[in-house]
This record gives sequence, C-alpha cells and structure tokens, in this order.
Amino acid sequence: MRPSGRTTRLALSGVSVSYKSRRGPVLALEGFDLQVQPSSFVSVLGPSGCGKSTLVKLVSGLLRPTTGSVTFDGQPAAGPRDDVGVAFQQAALLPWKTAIQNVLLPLRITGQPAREAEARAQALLELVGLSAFRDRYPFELSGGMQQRVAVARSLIRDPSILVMDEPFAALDAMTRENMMIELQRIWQEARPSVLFITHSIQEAVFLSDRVVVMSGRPGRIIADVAIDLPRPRDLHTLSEPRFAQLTGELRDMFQAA
Amino acid sequence: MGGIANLAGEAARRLLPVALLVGLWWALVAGLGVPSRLMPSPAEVGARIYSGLVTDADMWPHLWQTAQATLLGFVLGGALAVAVGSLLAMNRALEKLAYPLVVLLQAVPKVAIAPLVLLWAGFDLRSTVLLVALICFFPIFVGTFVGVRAAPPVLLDLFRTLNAGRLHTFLHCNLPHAAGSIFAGLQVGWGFALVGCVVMEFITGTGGAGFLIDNSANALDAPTAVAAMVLLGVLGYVGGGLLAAARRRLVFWEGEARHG
Amino acid sequence: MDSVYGRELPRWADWALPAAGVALLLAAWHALAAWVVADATLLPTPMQMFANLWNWVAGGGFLPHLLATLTGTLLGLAIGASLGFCAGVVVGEVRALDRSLYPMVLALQAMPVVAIAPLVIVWFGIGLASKVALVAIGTFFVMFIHTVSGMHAAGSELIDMCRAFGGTRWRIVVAVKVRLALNYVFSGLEVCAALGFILCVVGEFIAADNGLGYYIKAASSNIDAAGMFAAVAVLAALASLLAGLVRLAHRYVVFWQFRKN
Repeated sequence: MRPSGRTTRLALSGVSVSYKSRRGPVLALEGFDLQVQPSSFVSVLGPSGCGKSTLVKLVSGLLRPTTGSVTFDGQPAAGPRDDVGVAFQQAALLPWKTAIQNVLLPLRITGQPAREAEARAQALLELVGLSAFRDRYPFELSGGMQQRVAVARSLIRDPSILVMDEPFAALDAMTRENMMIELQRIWQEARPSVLFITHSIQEAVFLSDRVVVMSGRPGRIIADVAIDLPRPRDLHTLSEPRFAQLTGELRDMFQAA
Repeated sequence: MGGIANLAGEAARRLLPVALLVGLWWALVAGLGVPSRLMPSPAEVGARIYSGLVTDADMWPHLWQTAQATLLGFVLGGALAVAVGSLLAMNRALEKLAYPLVVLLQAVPKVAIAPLVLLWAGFDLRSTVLLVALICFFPIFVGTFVGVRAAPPVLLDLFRTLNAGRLHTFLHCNLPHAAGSIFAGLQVGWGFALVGCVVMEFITGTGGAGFLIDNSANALDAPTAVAAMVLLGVLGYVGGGLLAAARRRLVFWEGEARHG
Repeated sequence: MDSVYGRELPRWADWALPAAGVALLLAAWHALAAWVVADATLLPTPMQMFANLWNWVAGGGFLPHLLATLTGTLLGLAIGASLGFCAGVVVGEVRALDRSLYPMVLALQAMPVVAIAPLVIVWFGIGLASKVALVAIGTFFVMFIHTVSGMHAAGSELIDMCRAFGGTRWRIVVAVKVRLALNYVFSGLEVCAALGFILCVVGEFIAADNGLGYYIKAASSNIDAAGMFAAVAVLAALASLLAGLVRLAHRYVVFWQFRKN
C-alpha cells in the first residue's frame, strides 16, 4: 500500500507542449493543470487528436513540457522514473520472450536480479489471471491476454503511479468489458495512483474516482467530474441510475469538446 | 512414425518437379536429336556425376574449393554487412553521411569489378573470397538496415521509459526484431555469393566449379560442364535450405498463426 | 525529439551530410591512392580517373565497346523478357501447366544462371549471338517466375471473373487485378535490367572480342586500373539509367494509366 502522507502524487501546472512539424509549430497541450492524489484513479476523456498521447509521454518521462512543470511529490520530473509504470495502447510485448520473461523485462533492463523477482512476476501473472500461461509466447496469446501481460509488466516495479494509454482500445467490446472489471480488481489490490486515458465514457465512469474531460487540440481541461459511486463496483453498478446520470453528463460535455 | 512419413512425403513433393524436369530434358534431347557435345542427355550427366564423385572422384576438389570460397566470402561479407547495417540504422547522422557510398555500391554491378579484384588480390583464393564478400554485402546490408529500423516505435518507447541505453535497446529490441529481415537478406546474399564465386573462377581459371564448367565447355566436354552445373545447383540448394531451416528455428515467432 | 536513432537533425543536414559524405569518400580515396598504394596502374586517384574517363569519352574509344554491351543486353532483354512474360501469362492461366511447369522452373532457381555462360558461348560462338542468347535465357526465367507470381497474386480466373460480374463492376475488378499483376511484372523487369548487364559482361569476360566486359578484362591483363575504373563507371551509369527507366515506366503504367479507373 502507498503511504498517503503527501497530498499530491502527480501534478502538471500550466503545462503546454508544442511540436515542430512541417507546417510549423503545433500546440498539443495548452495551459494544462492536473493533480492526481495518492491511490486515486483518474480517467482522462478526450476526442481524437486532443493531445492524450502527449500527456502520456509527459508523465512517462518521454517528453519535456515546453512551458510549465510536471512534478512528482513536488519534485520536478527529470526523465523517465522508476516509480512510474506505463501501459501502452498496443501490448508491446517482445515476441521472442515468454509471458513471464516479458513481465520481468523492466527489472532486467534496470539491472535488478530477475531470479528473486520471479516469484513476484508469477504472482502478478496470477493477479491478471494468466498464471497457466507463464511460459507461452505472445503469438500464442490472444490480444486481451497480451494486454493483461502488459498490465502485469507495468506493475512489476511496484509503481506509485500507473499511466495507461487507452490499453483496451484494440480489443473487442466483450473483452473490453471483462478487462475493465479485471483492472478494477487489480487496482484494488495494489492501489497505485492511476492516470487512465480512454475514449470510452463507460470505462471512465466505472473505473475512476475522477474523470477529467479534455478539449480538442490544443488540449486543455474543460471539466473535472468526481465519481461518487461506491466501491467495489461490479456489473450491477453499470445498471444503477447514478451511473447512467454520470455517463449522460459526461457525454454532453464530451460532445461539446 | 508420423514424422518419418511426413519427411518422406515432403521429400517426394520436393523431388517431383526435379524428376519431371529430368524427364522433360531427356525427352527434348532424345526427341530433337541434340548432339552430346552441345547438350548431353540426363543419363550421360548422371554417369559423369557418378564418376566425378564416386569412382574417379576428380570433381571433389573443385566442389570443395567453390564451397569453401563461397562460404568464407559469405561469412565475411555477411558479418560486415550486419555490422555496417546496424551502425547506419542506429545513427541517423551516419546514415546520411554514408548515403552516397551506399548508392555507389548499389549502382556498380559487382561482377564488373572482378578483374579489378583479381588485379589487387592476385590469382589465389583470396580474390574469390573478396569478390564473394563484396557481392553479397549489399542484400544483407539492406536486410539488416530495414530490419533494425522496423522495430515498433511503441517498443522503443517502452525501453526509453525504462531508461535503457542505446546499445542495450539495440541488442535487446532492434536486433532481435530485425532477425527475420536479416535472414531474408542472407538468403538472397547466398545466391549472389555463388554467382560471385563462379564468375571469379571463370576468369582466374585456377579451380572450382566455375573453372570446371569453363574448362570442360572449351574442351567440348559438355557432360562434365553440365554435371558441374548440376552440382553447383545442389550446393546452392543445400545452402539455401540450411539458411531457411536456421531462420525457422531462430526467428521462431514469425510465420506462426497469430491470435487476437 | 531525441530517439534511439540519434538526435534530431536540422533540415540542412539532409543535403549537407550526404555532401560531406561524398567529400569524405573522395578524400579517403585520394589519400589511399596517392600515399598508401602510390601506384597509378593499381589505383588511380579520383582526379586521374576522371581525366582518364574524360579522355576515353572524348576520344570515342569506348563507343564500340559501349555499343556492343548495350546491344547485347537490350536485345537479349527484349527477347528474353517478352518471351518470359508471354510464357508466364500462359502458364498462369492454364492450371495444368501451372501445376507442372512452374515448380520445375522454381527447382532450377538454385543454380546461378551465370554458370551456363561457357556452354552458351560454345553453342553460339564468340560474338553478339552468344551475348544475346545468354541474356535472353537468364531474363526469360526471371520474367517467367515474376509473371506467374503476379498471376497467382491476382487470381488466375480473370476470364471467369469477367463472366461472373456484369456491367462495369468487372472492369474495376479486372483493373485492380491487372494492376497488382503488373507490379510483379515490373519488379521482375527491374531485376532483369540488372541481371541483363551482369550476364552480358560475364559473357564478355569469358570469350568476346568487344564490349565493356572484354575491355575490363583486357585492362586487367595490361595492369591498367584507370581504364578499368573508367569502364566500370560507364557500366554503372548504363545499368542505373536502365533501372531508372524501368522504374519510371513502372510508375507511369501502374499509377498513371490506372488513375482513371
């Protein structure tokens, strides 16, 4: 469990990011202010091209902001951090390594001994429901299973912040729904702070404590809605009137974006 | 049990076109009455192969020389091509700098410089190995370069979020991903390598399958020439087959039916 | 943005770095020729080579050789590629031939086609005929295989398809399929362009009395590296020109003509 003594785990203040492109500078994010508290689940909703990927790159340390600051527990970010786990849109597994070897990859790269961590990796695979597949290769796994391995991988270093960039976008509707419920269960166990990018309103409401709505490019926050549904949430939550109310509210805001 | 039956079936499938080819050959030679000094019948060539490999065994040293020179040049050219291809692929600046040299290398038909290589390296095996290395360099280089650059950006991002160094990323991400493409280049390069070896043997006249073909053709000994050609084809086939098998084994994740 | 492939380069690097590469190449060549080898008959400096090439071009000494090689290659290409294409179309369309002949030809591929050169010269003698024959045989097989591949890719039941689809729809389907097949055919033609020169030159190495290959071999015996360099440069230019023309034709036929559909 994370220590909850500090108030803000992750903060973006006045962040703007501009790219150089052939037609001149492109402003991807503008005047972006976002705070994420410890152990809280924040979803980011936004239309295509609104700068969500840029946000992911900022938090995962792949990009520096053009103006403004990105701070972790008050300290400015200086590149990719050990306490940030990332899950991308594609599972991005190494095809020549087994599931468990893929989960252990971050530890291999950062030089920590993998043998001791094998038990941890095994436990994580159990957590995502794939312990029977630990020695399978990605080409032997379905898309949903590959994405679950990727989620397990993002948790191997016990991150305090997890960034997920539309991890279920490439999956079919039924698998998505299952993964949504699975993710909630996994999150309840480890309780990192999560920044979850999605364009599924249902996913956002089901999983989060807060939903942040972004505008089109240049992306900025136009709404920050607290989700007061009680936890743990399950399939019944989906049919509760408050759920429909919240999704309706967000849909209206989303259309306006 | 099933495995042996499968193997036998596979071998039969592979040999059938060859058998048909031999049949067609025999029919044409016999039917059109082609004289033996121009185009021998399959029986004559078969007999010559037998005498060349078994009874008189005078073809072995030549075959061995060709195989050796081709293999050596192939390994040399291949190693160089993978190294240079990797280096240029991993460094945009170097790539742009080397671009004119690469274009030049591609434009010059490598067989044309065989006499030049002969002039520089002399009449022994060295010049053959050198030409083979030069001629198979380009396809392997291209296979390596394209393969290394084709690493999925999302994987490269993943390695960057883990603060992996460039060398580490290259060895554990780009290079394994490039394996399939490199093997494809190797397979093309093997074909080129044989061409280079044969051409050099044509002009040095110091031995090898190329020398056999040229020498016996000049002496109007067509059966020997054709026999040497057939054995050369076998060498090409065996090399290609070994490479394909190695590719299936090492790049095991490609070509599999994928889920999801 | 930095990536694993190195720092992002400014726009001017796109031309400046290759230019620097050319300069570096020439400098290294000059250094090697002038100070390491120091023997112009083995390795001429860049300037010596260009001077030699200029004299050669201006004096017209290379013209008969150039024409000999060019004639042999182009004639052989014309014959071999067109026959290979026709044979490929026929075999692609007739199932029985496809099943029997195509695998036979594939089985032949393991042997490098240059190996037949000495025998072809014995058949046709020294001169243009053997060059043309050699190039024709080699390019025939390449075009044949590429054409049949193209037919396979497009689906060989074009005629059946014409009947199945009525009206204008079949025209679109046929156009798409033909275009796909033509891509294979043109890529085969590109291979033939390179292969043609190679075969012609190898033939000239073995036994000829003219041609760029003959010249190169003779220069080798005379220890005239400058002459060899000049001839190789001309050959490289010819081969590149032909390949470029084929690529242009490819673009024209496949992209321009079919744009209307």
